[in-house]
Amino acid sequence: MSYFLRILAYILLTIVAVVSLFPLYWLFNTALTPASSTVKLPPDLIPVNATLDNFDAILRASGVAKIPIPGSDEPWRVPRLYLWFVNTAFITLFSTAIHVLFDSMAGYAFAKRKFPGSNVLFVMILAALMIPAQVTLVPLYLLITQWKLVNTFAGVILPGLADVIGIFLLKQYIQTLPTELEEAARIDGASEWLIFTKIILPLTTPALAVTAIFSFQRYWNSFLWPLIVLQSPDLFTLQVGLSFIHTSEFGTNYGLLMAGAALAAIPMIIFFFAFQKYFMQGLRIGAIKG
Amino acid sequence: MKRLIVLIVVLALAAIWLIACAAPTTAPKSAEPTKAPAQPVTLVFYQRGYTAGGTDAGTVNTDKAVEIFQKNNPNIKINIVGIPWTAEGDTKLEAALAAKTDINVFRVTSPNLPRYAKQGILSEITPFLTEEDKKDFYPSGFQIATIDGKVWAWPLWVTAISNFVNTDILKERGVEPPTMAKPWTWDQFVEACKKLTYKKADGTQVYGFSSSSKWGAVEYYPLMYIDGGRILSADGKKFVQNSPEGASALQKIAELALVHKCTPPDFGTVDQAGVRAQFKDRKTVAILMSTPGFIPDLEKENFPLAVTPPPLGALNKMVTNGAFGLFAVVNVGDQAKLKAAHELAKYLTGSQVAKDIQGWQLAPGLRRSNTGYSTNANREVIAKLVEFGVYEAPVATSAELGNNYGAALQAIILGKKTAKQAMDEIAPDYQKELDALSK
Amino acid sequence: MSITIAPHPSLVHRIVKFWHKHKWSYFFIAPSMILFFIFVAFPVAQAFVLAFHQVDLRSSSWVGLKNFQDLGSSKLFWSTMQHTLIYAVCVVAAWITSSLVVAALIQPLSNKIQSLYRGAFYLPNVTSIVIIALVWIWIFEPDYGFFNYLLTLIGLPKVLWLQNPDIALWSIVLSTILIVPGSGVVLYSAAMGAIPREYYEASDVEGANGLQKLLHITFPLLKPTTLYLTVIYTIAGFQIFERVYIMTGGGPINSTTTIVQLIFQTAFSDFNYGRASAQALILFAIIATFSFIQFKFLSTDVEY
Repeated sequence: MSYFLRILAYILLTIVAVVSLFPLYWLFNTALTPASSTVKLPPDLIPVNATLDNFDAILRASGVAKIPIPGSDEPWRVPRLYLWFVNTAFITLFSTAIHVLFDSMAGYAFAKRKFPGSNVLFVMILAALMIPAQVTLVPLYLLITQWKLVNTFAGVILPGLADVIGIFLLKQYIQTLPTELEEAARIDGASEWLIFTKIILPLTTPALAVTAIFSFQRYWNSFLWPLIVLQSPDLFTLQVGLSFIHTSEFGTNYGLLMAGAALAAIPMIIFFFAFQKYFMQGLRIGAIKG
Repeated sequence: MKRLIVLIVVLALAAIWLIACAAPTTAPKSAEPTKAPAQPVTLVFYQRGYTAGGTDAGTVNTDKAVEIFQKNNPNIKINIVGIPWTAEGDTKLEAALAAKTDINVFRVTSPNLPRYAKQGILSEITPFLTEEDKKDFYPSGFQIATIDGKVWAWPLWVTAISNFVNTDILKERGVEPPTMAKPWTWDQFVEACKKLTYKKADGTQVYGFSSSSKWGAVEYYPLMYIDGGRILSADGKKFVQNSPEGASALQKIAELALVHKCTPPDFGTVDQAGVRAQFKDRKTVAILMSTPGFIPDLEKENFPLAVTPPPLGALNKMVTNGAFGLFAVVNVGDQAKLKAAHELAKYLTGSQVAKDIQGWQLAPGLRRSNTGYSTNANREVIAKLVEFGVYEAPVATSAELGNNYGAALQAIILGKKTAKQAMDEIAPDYQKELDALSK
Repeated sequence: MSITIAPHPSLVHRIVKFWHKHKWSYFFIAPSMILFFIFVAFPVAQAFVLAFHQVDLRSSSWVGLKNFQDLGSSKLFWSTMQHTLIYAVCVVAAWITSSLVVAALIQPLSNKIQSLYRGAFYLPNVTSIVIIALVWIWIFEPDYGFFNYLLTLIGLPKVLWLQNPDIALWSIVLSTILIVPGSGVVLYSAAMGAIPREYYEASDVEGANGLQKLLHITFPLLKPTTLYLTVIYTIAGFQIFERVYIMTGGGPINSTTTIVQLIFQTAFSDFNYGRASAQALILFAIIATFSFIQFKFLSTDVEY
C-alpha cells in the first residue's frame, strides 16, 4: 500500500475509534449531570452543573448492611454499595479463574487429543450455545430450588461455570500450536499434566487473556440470573442492586442509571487494560527450532 | 501458577460454603403448620422496588406500612422480598411462582394481572370485601380486576391519564387551556393543536400534541373511548373496536397526524422517554397525553404545567384510562395464611394507610375515602378524573395477538390502513382468542 | 504339536487398556463436562421435551407436534424469522470483515498504541446494551437526530429511520454494522500476534508485499479464529433481542420483531413454555444448519 493510502487509513481508523467511544463518553457525561427522567441528547461537551449527586444518591439508596461481628455486640455497618462491589468481585473473579483453568483443560483435550466421544461432545457443546437462555431459565431455576441453592452465591455461580463458549475459543487457538512440542516432551517422559502446564499453557497466554477478559465482562455485567436467584440485598451483585435504584413504577431515572453503569464500567476498564499485556507478539519465536 | 490456581479454587470453595450457610437470614421462611387463626402466621410479601434497609421513599414507606400492620396484628409476621420495576423483575416473580416457592402477597400492575388470574394461582378477594368496602371503592376500580363477577386483586391506585399542557406555549399562541368544568370538544382540541403547531423564530418546530405510542408503552388510550367505542365488550367476551364508534375514535387519532399535521414525525412509534424529553427539555410539544408519574419530575423543574382533561368526543362524556397498581393474593391451602394475606392487602390499599404514611399515594387511590393524593390543584384534576375511568376487562390474550394489535394501531396512525380496515382485519383473530378463553 | 493361540483379550483387559490410553483426556474434560451436563445439557433436554407439551404454570400435557403446527400457521412467526435471518446474515458478514481489517491495520503498530486502539473498540461493550440502544435512538431521531442533521447539511431530505416500517429493519442493521465489534478486534489481534514472524520473513525473501502477505499468510492462518467468530457471531445475530426491542419494540407494524423477542414473550408473558420451546427448537435447527456449513468451509488443521 502506498504511504499516502496508509496515512489515510490510519486517520480513518482513528476517527472510527473515537466515534466508537461515544457511548462511553455519553455514559460518564450523563452520570455527572443532575438526575431526571428524561435524557439530554446530545450531551453538553463538558457536563453543565457537573455533580457527584447521582453517585451519592446511589450510595444512600443502597442502604446500610449490618454484618454481625463474632465476639462483639455491635454489628459492622457498611454501605451496601461497597458490599455489592465485593460480592460481584468475588463471583466474577472466581468464575473467571475457574473458566481459565477448566476451559483451557477441555479446549486442549478437544484440540489435541483423540478420544472416543470427542466429536459428539464437541457438537453437543456447540448445540448448547445455540439455545437462547430464555427457554432454559425456568428448568434451571427449578433445579436450583430443588438443591436449596436459592439466595446463595453457589446458586449464582454454578450454572455460569457450565458456560462452554470459552472451551470453543480455546480449542480453536490451541489447535494451531505445533504438535511436535508435545510429542517431544512425551518422548522425554514428561507427565501429561506437566505437558499441559509447562508447554501448552504458556503458549496459550494470549487466548487465556482473551478468555479472562470476555469472562470477566460476562460475569461482572450478569444481571438476570443473579436477580432471580438472590433475594437478600446483602448478597446482591452490583447490577442487581442498581436495578432497584434507578427504576420505579413510573419509569427510569436516567441520571441514576448512567451513574450506576459508570460505576460498574470502571473495574471492567481496569481489568481490560491490565490483561492486555499478555497480547505480546512473537511468543513462539524459537520454540520450534532445535 | 498451578499451585496458585488450586489455592484460589480451594479458598473460593470454602468461602462459597461459608456464605451459603450464612446467607439465608433474611430469606423467606417455609410454611408454618396450620392451626387456629390466632396462631402465629408468617407471610411472604413480594414488593416492587423494595430494597431491605434502603433509604428510598418506596422502601421506607413499605417498611413503615408493614411495621404498623404487624403492630396491629401481632400474630402475623411478614417477610418482604424485593423485586425491581423491570421486565426482569416480572421474570423473577414468575420464576418463583413456577417453582412453587412461598409467596402470599405480591404487587402487580393491571397489564400483568390477567395472565396470573388465567393461571388460576390467585385468591379471589370478593369474599373478603365488606359492605363498606364495596361502597367505598369506585365501581371502575374493580373493572380491571373482575372476571365473571369475581374480583381477583385489591386495587391500590390508578395512573389516570390526562393532557399535560405547557402553559407558556399556550399563552404565547393565545390558546386558553381547558378545565374540568369547561373541557374541550374534539373540534376545539384540533383547532388548538393546529394553532400550537408552528415554527419558532430560531427555526425549531413546535408540535401541538404527542403521546407515547411505542407498542407496550401506549399512553393515548383515553382517546380511543371518546366516541363511545371500546376495545372489548364490558364482559370481555367480544372484540368490538371495529364498531363505528371504535373505529371513528382511532381514525380521529390518526387524523391528528395525517390530516391536521400537528404531531411530531415520530408520533406512532415514539417511546415514553423520548416524548417526555420533547415535552420537558426541548419544549417542542405543547400538549402531552401522559400518566401522572411524570408530574413530580415536571414540578421539580418548575415547569409551566397545567393538568387538563382529555377532550370530549361524540360520546360527550369525559373519559380517561390508565394502568392500575394492585396487590394480588396467592391461592394457598392454608386458610389462616389466606385470611392474613387478604388483611394485609386490604390494609395496603385502604385509606388508613394513606393517613398513616405521608407520601404513600403516588397516584390517585381507588376509594372515595382516599384523598391522600391531591396535594395541589394539578393533582386534584387527576383525582377527579378517576371516576370517569373506562377500563377493559382483564382478559389474558397472547403476546402475539398483542404484537399484531399494536401493529394495527401503528398502521392506522402511519396511514397505511384506515381504522375500519385495520380493526376489521384483526377482529377474527382477536375474537378467536377470546372465544378460546371463555370455553 | 500344539500351538498356543493367544485368547481374545478379555473384557477387563480391554477396559484397562482403554483407560490407560484415554484417562488423561477424560480427566481434562471432566470438570467442564460434569458442570455442562448438570447445568446446561439437562435443562436444555428438559426444554426440548417441553416443546412437545402444552405447558403452563400448573400443568403440562403431551400434544405431539401441535406447537409446531401452530407456529407454521402463524404469520408473525414467519415474518419474524425473515427479519432475524436478514439481520444475522448482514451482521456476520460485516463484523468479520471489519474486525479483520481493523486488527490487520493495528498489527504493525507498537504494543502500547495497539492497546489503545483495542480499548477504543472493545470498551464500549462494557456499557450496558440499554445505553447503546438509547444512543442509536437519538442518532436516528427524525427532528433532532445526528443522521438527519448530517443529511440536512448536504441538503437532503430527512429520513424516518425507525418510523418507516419499510426501512426500520435496515436502519437497525446499519446501526449494528457501523460499529466495529471489539471482541473480533481483540481476538484477531491476539491470534495475529501469535503467528510466528518466520512466515513473514520467509515471504519477504520472495518479495511479497503487504497485501499479499495479508492474503496468503495471515488470513489462511487465521481460519480457526475466523471459524470461531463466524459461529459465535451467527449465534449472536440470530439471538438478537434486547438491542432491537429497546429501539423499536418490534415495530413499527411488526417490521422489526426478532425470534428471541417472540420466545421471551411466549415464555414470560403467556407462560406458554411449550410453544416457546418449540420456537427455540426451530431457531436452533436454523443456526445449526448455518454452523454446519461454516465448519465445512472453515475447518482446517492448520498449525503454526
